Amino acid sequence: MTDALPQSDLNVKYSVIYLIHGDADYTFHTDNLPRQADEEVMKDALSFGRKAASGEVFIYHQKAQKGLTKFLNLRHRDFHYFRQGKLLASGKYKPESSSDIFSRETQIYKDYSAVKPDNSRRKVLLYFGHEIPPQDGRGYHQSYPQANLNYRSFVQGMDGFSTTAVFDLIVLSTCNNGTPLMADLLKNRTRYLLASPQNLHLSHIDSEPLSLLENREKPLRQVAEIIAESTYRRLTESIQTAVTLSLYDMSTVKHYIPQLSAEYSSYLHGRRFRVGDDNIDCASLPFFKRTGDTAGVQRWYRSARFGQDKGKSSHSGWGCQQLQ
Amino acid sequence: MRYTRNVLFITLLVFSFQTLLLAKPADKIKKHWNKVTQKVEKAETADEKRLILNESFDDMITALSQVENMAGISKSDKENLAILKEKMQTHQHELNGQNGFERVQNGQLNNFSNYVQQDIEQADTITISLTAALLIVIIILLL
Repeated sequence: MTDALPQSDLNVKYSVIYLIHGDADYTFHTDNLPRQADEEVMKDALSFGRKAASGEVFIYHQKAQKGLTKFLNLRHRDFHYFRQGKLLASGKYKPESSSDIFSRETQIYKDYSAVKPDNSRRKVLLYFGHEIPPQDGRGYHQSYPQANLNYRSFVQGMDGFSTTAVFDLIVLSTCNNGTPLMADLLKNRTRYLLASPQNLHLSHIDSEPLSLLENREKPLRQVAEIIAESTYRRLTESIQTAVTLSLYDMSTVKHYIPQLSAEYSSYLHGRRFRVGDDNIDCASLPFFKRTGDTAGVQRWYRSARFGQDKGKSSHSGWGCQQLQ
Repeated sequence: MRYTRNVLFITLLVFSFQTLLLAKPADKIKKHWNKVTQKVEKAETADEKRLILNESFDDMITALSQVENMAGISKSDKENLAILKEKMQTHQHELNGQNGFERVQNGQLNNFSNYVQQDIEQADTITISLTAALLIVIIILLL
């Protein structure tokens, strides 16, 4: 469904992109009822799209290809485009190839976006999914196991959404992606990054506070803080595992992150680690200088109620891989 | 007519097989542990809750060990099964106050069961094949 769209709309003050991964297992239980993480985020995203009176909202739901759609290789992922609260376009699509990361999503964005690539309008990207692996990401998409979604391919794929302007905020609602390596890759691509250094509950990061974007006077940093605070409050009320969220201010972080990232890479080199293990706090590693390497990182942390880190009172805001 | 019927039958068979292959293996483990959590919550005494938890850990660890050692299980599955087994063993040690852990207090057993469930659900480690997941659940049911 597509209505005729003006290519540029000066009434559009911000652009929000939801990338919702659903092509894997996302079951979790709340009050003993099974829920699907991606379906829950979709409800929130559609609700936000309808209320975004001054913005445009792109929603991509990367669902699994199965049954008849798989047999006949039909389109199976969904997209929705809202502008100023009206659904102007929606439909099904599929990746350009079995190894494609975000080509179709960025093409849809370029076809419909009213936001010219400049810095006057705010741009927010939210990714909801499992941990983006640092290196080997084959198998991330159950339907496209050859597609290698890792740090580099994710960032390169995401570049298609922002031609000349950087993002104001990138939210990674995933486990274990609040890391020096990820921050180093994103330092020139976003003003702020909100991510979790360790495991994140599948109920994901709240996006409802994005409604504050309607108020242009509200500093973007405050919007990001409210998103983190809202998520932190909800999770700590019901979750027994650790809750760690970090807001990275790239204007500060960018001054030291290349060195921190290099030291971390050097530490990992030649060492064995277990893929799939939860990250640990980088502060426990010998190369980490606590005071210098936490500047520009705002942290929300509550330790797990059980386990080895029960009662831990603080966190550096950076996650590092656990070695064997 | 017979030809059309045969084609339809084979097509349905292929779809069913494809659907089975794309079923989410980790779902089986998560649903199993959610049932354990519900049993723990319904149990009336701390002793009953501990018994349910200990038996569930024993069953899970036994099943994981058996599947890990089966012929035909992929290297990737074996690695992920080993991680999951270690997790379960660590949780059981904490339940019972072993290996340097403080024993989980009686009043915290429901929360502890929820903690184990959440730990399983949010971990990306359960990337095992459907075959392995099915074998684990089958073995647990037979124990």
